[in-house]
Amino acid sequence: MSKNKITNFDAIVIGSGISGGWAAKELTGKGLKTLVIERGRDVQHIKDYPTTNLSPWEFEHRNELTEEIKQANPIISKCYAFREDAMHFFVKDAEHPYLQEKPFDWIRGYQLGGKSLTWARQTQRWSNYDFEGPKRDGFAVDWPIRYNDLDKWYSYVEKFIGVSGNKDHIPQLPDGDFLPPMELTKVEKLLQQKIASNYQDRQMIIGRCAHISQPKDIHLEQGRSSCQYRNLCQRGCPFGGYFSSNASTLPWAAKTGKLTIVTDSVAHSIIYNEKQQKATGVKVIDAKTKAETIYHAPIIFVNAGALNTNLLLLNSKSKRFPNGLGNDNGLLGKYLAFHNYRGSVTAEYHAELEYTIEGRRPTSGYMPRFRNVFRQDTDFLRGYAVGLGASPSDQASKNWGAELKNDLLNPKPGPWKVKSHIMGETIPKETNKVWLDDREKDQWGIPKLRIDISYDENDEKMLADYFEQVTEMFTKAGFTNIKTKDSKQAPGLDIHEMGGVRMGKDPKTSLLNEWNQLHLCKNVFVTDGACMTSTSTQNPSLTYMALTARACHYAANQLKNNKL
Amino acid sequence: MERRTAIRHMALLCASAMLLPSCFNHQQEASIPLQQIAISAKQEQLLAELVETIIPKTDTLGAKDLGLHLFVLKMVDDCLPQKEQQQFMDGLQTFEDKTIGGTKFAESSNQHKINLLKEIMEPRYKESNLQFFLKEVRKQTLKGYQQSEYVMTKLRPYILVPGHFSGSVKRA
Ligand SMILES: Cc1cc2nc3c(=O)[nH]c(=O)nc-3n(C[C@H](O)[C@H](O)[C@H](O)COP(=O)(O)OP(=O)(O)OC[C@H]3O[C@@H](n4cnc5c(N)ncnc54)[C@H](O)[C@@H]3O)c2cc1C
Repeated sequence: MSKNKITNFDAIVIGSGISGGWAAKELTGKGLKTLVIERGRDVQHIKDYPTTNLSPWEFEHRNELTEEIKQANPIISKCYAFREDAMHFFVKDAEHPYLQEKPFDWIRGYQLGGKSLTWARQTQRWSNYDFEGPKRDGFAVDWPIRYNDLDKWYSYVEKFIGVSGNKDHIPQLPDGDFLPPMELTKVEKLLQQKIASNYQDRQMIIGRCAHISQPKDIHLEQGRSSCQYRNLCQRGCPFGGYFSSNASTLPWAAKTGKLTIVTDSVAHSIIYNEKQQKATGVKVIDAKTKAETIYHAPIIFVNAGALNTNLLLLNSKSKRFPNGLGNDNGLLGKYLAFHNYRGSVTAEYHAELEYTIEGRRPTSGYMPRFRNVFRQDTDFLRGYAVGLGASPSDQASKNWGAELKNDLLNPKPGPWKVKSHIMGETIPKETNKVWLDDREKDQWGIPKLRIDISYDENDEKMLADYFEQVTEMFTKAGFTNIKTKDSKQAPGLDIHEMGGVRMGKDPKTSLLNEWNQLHLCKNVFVTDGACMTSTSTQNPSLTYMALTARACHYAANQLKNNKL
Repeated sequence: MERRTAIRHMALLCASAMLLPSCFNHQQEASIPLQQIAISAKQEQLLAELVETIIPKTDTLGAKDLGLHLFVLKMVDDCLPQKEQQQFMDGLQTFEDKTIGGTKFAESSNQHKINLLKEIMEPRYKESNLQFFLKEVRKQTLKGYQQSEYVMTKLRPYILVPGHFSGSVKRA
């Protein structure tokens, strides 16, 4: 350990992704000297977006993956955003292996900013119909919070990151503090009308997304400006048009002068002091030199990304906690869940061909859950949200030679291509779990994670219902050539893995309390996906951010009042 | 790779035995480095003819001018799984042997060339490597053309920064 390194802080945040970036911003904002520990490399906003301004022809393979890369990376290659233009923001298969009891595609981004660089920026709020789900339907445990606890924190986050959206007045998808919505396409509007006239219980809306459709002062202060409708977001945005830790929370935190970031620093475990009955610090291994450093702080936020947070806590063993920090009940690493993204439905619409679009919209249409919302009305539990989009196409030419060339340069309008995908809630179960392998370790001496997560009968029933309902909605809208597809993709590829360190009221059946504190080690907070008691259907990151901001304010106050 | 080395050896042999131009022409390799497939200069020339037939020079540049035969080769070499590379090479060989009424492809009239391509796309060739080859060449030629700097700057400008989005605009 180098002698002159500062190792004492007021707060430590492990991980710099979507949730860790928020923790850094809030804790420094409360005047706390904060250390962010990030295992990956440094990525500076704009400067480290090497592909951001490249044109299609500048990619050697026009953004396709080579066979060599696919062969070497069977897992990460499945992620749609892992292409020539953004490959450098994803973990390659060989770099950080894990063990699969059943197929699980673990999609990761180890760098400053984590997956906030490459995420799809969909930001839909939860409602009480989601928070009350486990209690009403008798699974998992009751959430210790309700929508009222989070409402103002959602607003707090939305205002800062910038969320474009429409006020739709849908009970199960509360409105937020929105910037102007993006526009639906001609045929999406038609679908919206058809659905409204055919169904009482269903609304199609424009997806709410973390894009600045019209900057406010708070965004300009961050050095961010309007979305330019390039839809090249996964490369990093030079305009700061979408929210990422790198463009937003981390530079904001740095401006306070209270922030220290260490990159290439792998958090190994949290150190528990039995006498003080709390955590005192974090053991960190230098990713390159393997040198060990211990950092100390009275508050520790764990934001390593859901499964890595599980791993880290399981690896934080002490005499008091031989099975992992705070894990007296043996539930750490259990009751994991995810979102079912297996189903898609495509179709065509052969009218309105004189219309097209201009610009590239970085979001699409969305339909909030309509199954089992107000009461149980199907033979499966919970339900699904539906992603919906319709875009114009060019007629595919069958010609050759000069005629083909003419077709390519002056394309005739083809049918509108309609697409939909399922985002299904899965039920957390004790059998969906992760644990540390007792033999295999990674190169930093940390046990490898074993993952055992699978679909169940409820997921299959829900998928069948999705196919049936969307086919019906598309048929009623006058769409043709309707095709359903079950990709059979493994859990994980949804990139919405959650749970394992769930929140709850009772320390016997949960790990975290209503403030995201470990019941049994109150100065450790978990506010990433690991804390989720259930998954609902919404893209989860907005909720992680709101929970993080809320917990940080609580933690800072507790510290001030000497309660931690 | 092995085939490539073999060809190189043979070229060396030929060259040292006697500097026969025909031997040289026949065995010379493609003009770009390829890792997985072995393409002779002659095959490369044939491909150039083929892509030019697919997208010919008119009052604007054609596929040969834009080097799309090399783009096709690069994509096949780097992005196709081995099995499909084999199919491609088999199909290419079959295509090399094709004549149109006794005349080689390269020497045939444009209409004859196009007729041959249409014929190869007929259902009776459905499972053949020949059709696989032609489909792959067509697909990559179109991709290379539409995503070429030339087309994307001069003919159908690609806008890197649209600056706005409209969901319903009347087509021009
Ligand atoms: C292509 C794609 C599309 C997505 N679309 C959406 C979407 O539309 N909406 C949505 O809500 N979500 C979306 N997601 C998911 C979203 O990215 C995640 O939910 C979110 O990033 C989670 O935030 P996090 O802070 O928990 O983890 P991350 O953002 O993954 O950050 C975790 C950080 O912790 C670091 N870390 C891990 N282990 C350690 C350790 N031991 N020591 C130190 N550092 C460590 C990692 O390197 C990483 O930087 C998408 C993800 C991807 C990849």
